[in-house]
This record gives sequence, structure tokens and C-alpha cells, in this order.
Amino acid sequence: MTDDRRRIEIDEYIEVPPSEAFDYVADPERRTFGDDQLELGAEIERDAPSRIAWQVTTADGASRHTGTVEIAIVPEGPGSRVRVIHEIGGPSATVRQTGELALAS
Amino acid sequence: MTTDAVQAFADPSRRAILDCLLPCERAVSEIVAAVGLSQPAVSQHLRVLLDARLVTVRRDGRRRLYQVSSDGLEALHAEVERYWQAALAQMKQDLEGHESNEERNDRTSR
Repeated sequence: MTDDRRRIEIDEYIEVPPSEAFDYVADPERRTFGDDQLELGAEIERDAPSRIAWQVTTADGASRHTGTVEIAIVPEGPGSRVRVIHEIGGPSATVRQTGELALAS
Repeated sequence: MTTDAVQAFADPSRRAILDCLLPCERAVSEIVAAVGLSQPAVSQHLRVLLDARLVTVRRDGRRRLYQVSSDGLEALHAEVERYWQAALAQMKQDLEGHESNEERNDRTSR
């Protein structure tokens, strides 16, 4: 199984400043992703207005932690380049003998 | 993806099984513990996933170890990609207040 297929990376140019884009993705009341079949879990990282990351699970399965999502925002002209990096299974995920997923340190 | 694979992939229990196989190959008993279904149910789902080539199996002594196949990973990759493309398109529309290029293309191609 090739690791590169575990990584989804897409981006979109949005014509608002990075701070506005960041406020949108960081606010559960405004963003439209992460509360349906793909559920954002614990926040792993927050570095306004450039980067925010969460653990993520698929809501319709019995599995728990199944990945991480990072959103990176960089200024581009008058707007922002918003990049989503979703790693299925999480980066460097390892499985302990009990079968629980743990992130490698 | 073949029609069989699309159908196999559509079931939430089978997606849960694929999720638990992502980090490493597992025996049936480990899959049963991870997804919380009965062993007969898991075995039936694994048969469907095998037929659809979304998982592969190998013998290790008396155990059968299953893992996600490259087709299975492709299916997951495509689904997650579609999800985030839609999410970013919606974000663009919400923040800019008009259709994104993707939505304009969808509309004009119908």
C-alpha cells in the first residue's frame, strides 16, 4: 500500500484576507465541513491565521481516530490560498498491541 | 472503480472495516473487536470486500490476515478528495458571495 495515496491535498483561491479565511474554518458555526460523515475531533494545532489542524473520524463507522486534517492559509495577491491536507490513518500512525491507534512521537 | 466496488464501499459497516485495516493488516478477531459487529457479520462483509477487490487476505499459520488493497485505498482517497473539494467550494461561495468555478462548471455542464 503506497503511503502517498493516504494523503489528500487540495487547495482553492479565495478572495478574502487570510484572517477572514482562518476565522471561517476555525468557527464551527460558520464552516460547513466536519460535522457530518466526516467529523472533526480534537484540535491538534492552531496558529492564526496560517494553520489549524484536527484529528478526524468517519462518523458512520465504529472506528475512532482515522486521520488528521490540516488547513494551511497563505496570502496570495488580494486574497488567500487555502490548502487542505487530509492524512487517512494519521501521520506515522502505529498500533499498540491492544489494537489502539497511537501517533508516533 | 467497478460497480461492485462502489456498492461494496457504500456500506457504512464495510467502510468501518476498511478504516480499521488502514494502519495495518488484521485478523478477523481483531476486526470484530475494532468495529463492534458479530463475527458472522464481519466475515460476510469481508467476503464482499474481497470480491470487490477492496481488501486482500493472506494466511499466517492458522490466521487469515486482511489488509486494504490498492483499489480500497483509491476508493477512500477519491471519496475524501470529493468531500474536501465540495467543502472548499462552499467556503469560497460563503466568503466571496458568488459561485465558485467548480459550481459554475457543474451548472453549465448539466
